[in-house]
Amino acid sequence: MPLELTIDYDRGVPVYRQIYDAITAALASGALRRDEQLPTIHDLADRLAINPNTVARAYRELDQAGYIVSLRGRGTFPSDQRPAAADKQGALRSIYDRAVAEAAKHGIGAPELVRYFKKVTP
Amino acid sequence: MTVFEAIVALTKASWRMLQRHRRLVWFPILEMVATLLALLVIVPLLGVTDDEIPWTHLLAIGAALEVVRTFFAVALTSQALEALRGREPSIGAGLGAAVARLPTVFMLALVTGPVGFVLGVLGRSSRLAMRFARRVFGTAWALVTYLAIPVMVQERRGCIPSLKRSGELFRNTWGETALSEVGVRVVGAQLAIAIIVIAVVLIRVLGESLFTALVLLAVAACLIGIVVALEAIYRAALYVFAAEGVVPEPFGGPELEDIWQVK
Repeated sequence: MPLELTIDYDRGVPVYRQIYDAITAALASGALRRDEQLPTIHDLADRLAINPNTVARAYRELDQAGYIVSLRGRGTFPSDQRPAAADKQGALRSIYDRAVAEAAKHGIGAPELVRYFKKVTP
Repeated sequence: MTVFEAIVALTKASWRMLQRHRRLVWFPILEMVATLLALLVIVPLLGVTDDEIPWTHLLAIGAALEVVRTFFAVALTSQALEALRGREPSIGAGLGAAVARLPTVFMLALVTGPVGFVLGVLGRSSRLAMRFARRVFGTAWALVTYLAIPVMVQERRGCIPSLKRSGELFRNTWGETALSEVGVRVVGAQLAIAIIVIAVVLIRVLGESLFTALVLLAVAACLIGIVVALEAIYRAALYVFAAEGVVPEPFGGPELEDIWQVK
């Protein structure tokens, strides 16, 4: 499944950090599998209509955190390491923000969404 | 690094980008042509013939010119952002981007035009306090709205949301934005000197004639076009820095790292 990534300029979070959070969220949830190649820097920059340096910074920081590895001639892949608790907070924030934004499109407010999550969570 | 050194370094970085993508200069030149055409159409339409122009007519002319200015600023900024992404800018794509945002262009001109008009009135006042107020409010307005056009282009926001977002981004980049404002004035002053020198040389060599005037006009248009394009490139780079959190090429590198306080 291709990596789902959207930029929300209203979040007040730099775009590179949004990419970082979205990828750690995908890693934490298992949406991004170990063998799944990440888009190239230029592909992702084109897709999001942003500067390639922005994607490069997100990838560099993910690489430094040990979550992704770049294999020469093969591309960039998730590593064995899972996001740490601190990063999971960022990932949770990213998931929450996207859920709230999606709900808002249907006229559903955050409190109603949270009430629903509580109701359906076993 | 002194302010002057920073201005020189940023101008050089913008210049490197402009040399790679020379067609960006065409946008300000097209703007000048469109401004002339707009004046040729509007002035007879309003029936302005005598020296005493009613303020309502001045406002209408100012609004029309503001629409032209904003339209070409949007076109240029869209292609400056493309150039910073390593893509080849195109005049057609730039004009297309501006046409696609035409309602917002009109709205923004509707807001910035009257503000400029009021600032102009304050600036012409003989009272020192009025002129001081013009300087303070003019500078504040210029700084807070500095990134409105890149925001409108990149984030596809409307007029008021673009102005609000520009103000938000300014909080993170006030130093870099102020540097740009100073830089534009320094480069603008140098440009004025260059045009005067060229004018003197041309009149000496070619004599006072219509031909000399046309050559001088063409040279001045090119020089102004270059400065406007340089400023648009820097503005687009500043937007990328503020919104995306990175310094785009060719504004990175060790000689410029003191300028950008990477968050």
